[in-house]
Amino acid sequence: MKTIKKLLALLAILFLQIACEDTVSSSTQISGEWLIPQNEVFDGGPGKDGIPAISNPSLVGNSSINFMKNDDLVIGVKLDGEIRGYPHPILDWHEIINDKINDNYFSITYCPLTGSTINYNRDLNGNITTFGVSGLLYNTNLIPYDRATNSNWSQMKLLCVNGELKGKIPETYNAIETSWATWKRIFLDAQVVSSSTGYSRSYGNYPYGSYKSNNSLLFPVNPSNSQLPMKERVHGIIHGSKTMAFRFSSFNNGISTLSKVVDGSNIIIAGSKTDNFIVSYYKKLSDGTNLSFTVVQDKLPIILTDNEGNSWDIFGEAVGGARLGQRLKPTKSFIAYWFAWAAFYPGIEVM
Amino acid sequence: MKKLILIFFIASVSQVYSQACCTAGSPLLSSLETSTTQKGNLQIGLSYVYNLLDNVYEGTNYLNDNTRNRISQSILMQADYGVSEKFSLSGLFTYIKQERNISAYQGITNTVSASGIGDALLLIKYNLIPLTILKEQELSFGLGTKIPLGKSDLTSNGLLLPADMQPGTGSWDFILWSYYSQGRLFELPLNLVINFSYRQNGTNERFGNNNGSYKFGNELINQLGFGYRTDLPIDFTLFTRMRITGKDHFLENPIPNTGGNWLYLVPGINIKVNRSIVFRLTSEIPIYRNLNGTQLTTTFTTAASIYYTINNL
Repeated sequence: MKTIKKLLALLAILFLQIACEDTVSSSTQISGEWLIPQNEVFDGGPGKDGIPAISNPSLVGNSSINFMKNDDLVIGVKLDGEIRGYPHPILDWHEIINDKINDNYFSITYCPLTGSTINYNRDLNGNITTFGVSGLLYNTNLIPYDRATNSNWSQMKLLCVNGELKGKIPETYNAIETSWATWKRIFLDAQVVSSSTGYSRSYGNYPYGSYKSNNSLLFPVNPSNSQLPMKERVHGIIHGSKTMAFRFSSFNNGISTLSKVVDGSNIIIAGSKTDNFIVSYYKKLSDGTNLSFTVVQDKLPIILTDNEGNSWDIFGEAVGGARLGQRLKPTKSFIAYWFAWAAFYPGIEVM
Repeated sequence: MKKLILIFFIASVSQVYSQACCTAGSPLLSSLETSTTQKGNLQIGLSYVYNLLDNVYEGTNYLNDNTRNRISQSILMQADYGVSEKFSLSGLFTYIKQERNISAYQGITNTVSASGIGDALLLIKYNLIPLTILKEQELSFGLGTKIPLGKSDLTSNGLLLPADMQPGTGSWDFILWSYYSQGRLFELPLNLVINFSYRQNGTNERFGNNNGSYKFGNELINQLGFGYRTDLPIDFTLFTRMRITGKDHFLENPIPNTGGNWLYLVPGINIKVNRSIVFRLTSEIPIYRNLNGTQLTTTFTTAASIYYTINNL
């Protein structure tokens, strides 16, 4: 009896002793300074690789995809003439797809909380690597990490913000975003990432409830800006120190274009409300030619013709005419929710 | 002795750890001693609770994902004192260790663990129908508060850990509690126990004072079960526990993939060492889960406790 009482007392003392200390340990070491405010970087909860990136995705034709609704979004990439689609319903669960087309190594990085997709080149100074999901967020936006150096990159800031490659600006490939309805109508022979990912997920179900349309955030952003509805998708263009946001409401139901001159550079922005896309390219070609464009209706994926008689598709590639195969230089641009553009680029102008 | 046995029948339903994916802190509400303590008596309990979370559910659908798990281990120290015939006080103090393991990429396991003192709970209970040997019926009510003793701002690598990895919640919460028992059912040494607990959560400032408040989902726990006494120093219990948790909120907006409904089966065994000391083993087995969105959730929980009662202090 006395022994048990002593044991209880001992256990109570032990409890009090261990309770006096708070300890944290992690097998993931993140060291060094951050180029963004460290106290605004948050652990999103799932942890490093807790949202598993996909590498070498399984591809199928459009007709084999059964988890997409017409208004679901899909990311399109065209490289060496090959077109591939990366559905949001896959990216919602994986956020990063590491892929390659011939010798073009790229990572589709997507943040469901900011609605932003950027196609990162994963050939880092000749070192081909993959990107993973760090589990960290800045301005509620994805922070991918590269598996070559474990460096952390701010997706929308387009900057490596921590680690060995800190300060490096990522090279990007062009990518478009449109609805599944448009995609399957205009890219009949494209390959699309299938739901055979090796992971058990409900790809038809959006994992964030009403997040796309409500006015709530899951993590703080700074600064906030109420000039536009928080979750309005806008096409932002970064040119030097200037950032511009283009709204879908600025475009017609058919295809229409806007032109902007920024620091002497001519930019054409083409979009369609019904076909759900906005893309932007520099008018000046690499040979110095300044083209004059005209909109093409009802011939998607062709959207433009020029004064030389060339026809250009939604990816900015000449698909007819003397310049067949040439590419317009894409702007540094992508579609994301307004609040995210305003947080990352506070001086952004709404066009 | 009879009352002590009954108390432990009743208590065993709530000595197990109850936790879902996104519930932070210690298993306070589910660990409440579910009976009152007689005037002048002091009961002290010490428990170890192990909770493994490696099931992933989307709604009611099981997802086959073995890339991650969570392990929560808690030590709970509970004291209950009978202030008068009608009133008793309960205090619960916790120490918790949370571990998160992820092995999604090339078998490399990323582990983060955090441990520390958890939140505490104070409860005052009113015994409307006191338990007697002849009647063996009891009805009690209680109210209390959860005190945010545990830290909710621990960092790893200089970065704030997520809310469900923190030892504490950072909020003051309001607790309502009620309890009913009826002994000698069907003239057998069989006791019926029904218990309701509700926690109305307050808010915390986990993202800093200027970034808005965070609130964990409110929690309701309903328990119904039976205890069977034997002539041996071993008794048995079997309970069902229903747990309903609301969604967490940030800036008053609901957070997806938090909250849900759980139904557990909770078998237990009590070993009476002597008149004052009882050793208890329980397990909590989920039999139904309907979660909001997709969450990592409890696979099983097991607990070992020892209780010591000092009569007429």
